[in-house]
Amino acid sequence: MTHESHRPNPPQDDLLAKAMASALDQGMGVLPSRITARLAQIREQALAHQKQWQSALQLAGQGTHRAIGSLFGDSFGSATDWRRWAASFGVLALTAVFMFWQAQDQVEQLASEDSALLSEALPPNALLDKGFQSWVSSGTPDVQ
Amino acid sequence: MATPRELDAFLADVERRAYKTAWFAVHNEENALDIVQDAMLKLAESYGDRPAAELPALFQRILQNTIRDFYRRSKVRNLWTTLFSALGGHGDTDDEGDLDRIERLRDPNSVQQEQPDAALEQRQMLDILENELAKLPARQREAFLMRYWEGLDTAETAEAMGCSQGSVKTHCSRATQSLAAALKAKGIQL
Repeated sequence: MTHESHRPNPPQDDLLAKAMASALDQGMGVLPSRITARLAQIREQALAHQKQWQSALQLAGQGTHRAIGSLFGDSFGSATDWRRWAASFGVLALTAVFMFWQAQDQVEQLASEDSALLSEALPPNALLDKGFQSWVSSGTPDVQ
Repeated sequence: MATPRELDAFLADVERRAYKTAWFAVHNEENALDIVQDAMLKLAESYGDRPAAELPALFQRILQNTIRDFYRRSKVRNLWTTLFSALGGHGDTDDEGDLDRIERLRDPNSVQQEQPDAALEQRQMLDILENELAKLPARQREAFLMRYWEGLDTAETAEAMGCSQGSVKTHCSRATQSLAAALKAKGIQL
């Protein structure tokens, strides 16, 4: 037993190993036809079982991700790009404030219209009627 | 994602080497074919949607795991066979491994008849090399075949074998030295 033979010599080992691999490659051409035929059959069988359904799902997922990414920029999904998220949040906040202001404006407009309608429909004598005044002061009129 | 055409091309490219790799490990044609079948099906069913570039390393890992599974199953089967034989059964399992080896050496298809001398010499050298490969420790053979025959780099081989790159280099070096020494002892120079 000589341990010297196991001393690593990378360049020479590589050359030897490649020469052996090349010799093995030459042996591939002499495989019996029954084996090559069976291998072809196995390959067909494997191809018929290729994982396809998940590929379709993955494609759909990638499509959705790309669509969202086009809205928020290519770096969507990377938590590092906080500026984009801050900008998006700002836009959302402004939209909410605008909608609230619009709603308030609409309520005030409706109230003024109602009061105008009431003042137009009410005969002047009604304001002198004590019963009417007590009715106005006792509860909120339900105006349709 | 590998298209069916890419997967087909990949499998066609590796199928012969995969068969020989399995054969070196189990020394039996049918078992080697079964191992290749299992490995190819596992690759297609579980990793058929992976990019084509990932397939070689994945396939080698699956192939080696399938070979190891075969060893494990064989051990269990042999244990039961031994038990039944010891209980009085007539074990007519004459040494299949040896028979297969003799049959393979006599295989008429394996020798090219047209150029008798050169083909015979080449065939003999190949037989010796294959036999010596089959005698190597499993890890050395795995590393050698993946690294030099399948063309994986050291990192890919290490990943497929589940060991460090240093171990791969050591296995490869020892395998190469053993093979070279065995060939030299039989008067073959590469």
